[in-house]
Amino acid sequence: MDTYFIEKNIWADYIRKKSLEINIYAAFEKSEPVFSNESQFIRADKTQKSSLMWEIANPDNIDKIIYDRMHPVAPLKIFFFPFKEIILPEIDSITPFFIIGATNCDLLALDITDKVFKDNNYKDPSYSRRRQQATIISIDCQKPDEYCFCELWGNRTYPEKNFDLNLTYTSEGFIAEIGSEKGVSIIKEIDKKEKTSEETASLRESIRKQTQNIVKNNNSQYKICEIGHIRNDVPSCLENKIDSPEWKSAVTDCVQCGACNAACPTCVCFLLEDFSSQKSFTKAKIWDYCLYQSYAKMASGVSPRPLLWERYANRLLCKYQYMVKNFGIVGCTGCGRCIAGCPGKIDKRKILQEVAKQ
Amino acid sequence: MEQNIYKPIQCEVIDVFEESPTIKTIRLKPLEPFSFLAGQFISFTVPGIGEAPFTPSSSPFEKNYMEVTVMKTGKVTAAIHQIKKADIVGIRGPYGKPYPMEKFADKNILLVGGGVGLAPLRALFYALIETLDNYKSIVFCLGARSPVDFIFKKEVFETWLSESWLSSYKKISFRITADKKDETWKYNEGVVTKILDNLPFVPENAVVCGPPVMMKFTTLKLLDVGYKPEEIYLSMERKMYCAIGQCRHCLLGDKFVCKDGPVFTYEEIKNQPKIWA
Ligand SMILES: Cc1cc2nc3c(=O)[nH]c(=O)nc-3n(C[C@H](O)[C@H](O)[C@H](O)COP(=O)(O)OP(=O)(O)OC[C@H]3O[C@@H](n4cnc5c(N)ncnc54)[C@H](O)[C@@H]3O)c2cc1C
Ligand code: SF4
Ligand code: SF4
Repeated sequence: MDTYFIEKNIWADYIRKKSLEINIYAAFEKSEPVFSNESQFIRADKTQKSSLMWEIANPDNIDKIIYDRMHPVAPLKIFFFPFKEIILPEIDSITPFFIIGATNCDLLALDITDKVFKDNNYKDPSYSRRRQQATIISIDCQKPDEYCFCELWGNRTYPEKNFDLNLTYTSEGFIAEIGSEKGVSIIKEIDKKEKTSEETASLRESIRKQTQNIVKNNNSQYKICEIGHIRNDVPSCLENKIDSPEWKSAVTDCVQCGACNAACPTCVCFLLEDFSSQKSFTKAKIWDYCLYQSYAKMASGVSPRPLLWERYANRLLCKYQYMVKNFGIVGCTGCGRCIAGCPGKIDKRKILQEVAKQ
Repeated sequence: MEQNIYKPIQCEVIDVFEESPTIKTIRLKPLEPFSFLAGQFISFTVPGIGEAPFTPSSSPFEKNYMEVTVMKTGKVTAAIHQIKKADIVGIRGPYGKPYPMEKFADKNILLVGGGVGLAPLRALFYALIETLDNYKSIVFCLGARSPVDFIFKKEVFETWLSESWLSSYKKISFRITADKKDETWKYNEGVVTKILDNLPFVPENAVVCGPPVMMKFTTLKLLDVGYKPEEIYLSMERKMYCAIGQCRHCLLGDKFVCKDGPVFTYEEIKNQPKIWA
């Protein structure tokens, strides 16, 4: 779609004005999580080098919004599928809001969450409305950390879909690509902008190449499956690997904290809690973690996965096998959060590589 | 705004039957139109306590009420056992795929149920009776741990096993067993697999519901007596919250018990991990 060049101060003025009208969540450098007080993220943050946090933008902090780093600690899903929400009765008013700073690894995860909560015979009461009201302004990732491995699965470091407007940060200003009608209206509201020249186009190209190379170099020791694996097919090297002995040694340092579940943009599991009275039925939807013993335990006390290694294997097989069968897409985008946030320092790339070998 | 997918239909409890020391049947009158097909399940809310899935045990053709037969095993089921006439509860559904009645046409059908697993089979049995002309014959095997634990006693012993009933339903026969009998018991003793020999027909369709071990050994036995994996229908149980294919708790490998099941042929699930857990 069309791309424009927008100077930094012009963009800042636009966002400053907009922040007086609607809520704008953006990525900021922080030492403490601000958007969510959920302990999962605090835990994830302690071991994670990036400390980008989602926070509400206001006229005073606009200049501190980060456009040239990587994904924030908390996954994008929190805006559409929050940690805990009342779904019955549903919230009546969900008002328009902006998100600035989404990266491709999180945008791709929307393919999964959309299929689960929206493009389904049963529509989640709030998810679709939140998706409708959100305007997603994404960025090109420019400083991936050592945990990022999107390119290893053939995913790009820059957005290709699921955004309304994408910004590539350059020292002079932003190269803005329109991704939807919502993006068109943003561009309309900005008076001073130019259509990009061939020169800016090649600048964007080289910025993107540079980031891709960082991820590729960081992951050069991993050869999990065939290179350039297709995103909508089960990796044959991981098929039917439930009995691999590798899973057992993988979990020796797992403390069953569930951080890998909480931090993951494609983990969609939840449980329901009732507060009903005879006059009204009330229900809350809360994230649940498949690494927890309680997750699959049935009333009889029997669980299909009583052992930790079975639960760990299940989490990875869910991403690379079950979700592919369910939704036609690999359920891992390579954001690396589950590696960065793991207190046991378990690196799934190493585990997958070992499992794939056998 | 669209109807909230989690909003239950209110139901009035119109009767409660004690089936065994641990199992009760609750008769409900939905306060809005509600219907289901045999094999489908509902999510049952006890206000203030929580929600759990159950397969209705009454005839899908019964328009005045619906029954669920519930074994007490935990929080919600304990609350269901406290329910009294005139209480208001909630249900949502029906969910899941019904039994494939069309596959049973012109065939011999074997039903094998143990304990509370007889609940969905009772609904299926009533549905089969309504359309009995469509089938060749039915053998219904019913089991329980002990005579006291045997459910639907009144119906089974006083109606179905009565001479008049049997003589008007000549296509139907029953086999009954208790794992361990007592002095009152006139039927077989032993686990349900023991009454599956010498079936009066060629193996064509078998429907099984019961605790996981029972289903495992029954499946092995049925394969042994000549049933094909695609002819054995199993009711699978998993932890379940949403019942609509979102929360992922009920996944059996890549299959959702709530929407791909709860009834699967053995063929469909035999390669999924840990199916008998
Ligand atoms: C499709 C299907 C059909 C079924 N049909 C029948 C039937 O006809 N008859 C029958 O008797 N049974 C049936 N069952 C089994 C029945 O659903 C379970 O026995 C029932 O769910 C037990 O619920 P409980 O709350 O009493 O048990 P509990 O042991 O209290 O709870 C069950 C599980 O839920 C968890 N849990 C409970 N409360 C919470 C909470 N607030 N937050 C998080 N987790 C919680 C517990 O950890 C436990 O593992 C069926 C199950 C399925 C899947
Ligand atoms: S793998 Fe790591 S992050 Fe996941 S539960 Fe275990 S210790 Fe926590
Ligand atoms: S599984 Fe790990 S790397 Fe993959 S999307 Fe989830 S958090 Fe990111």
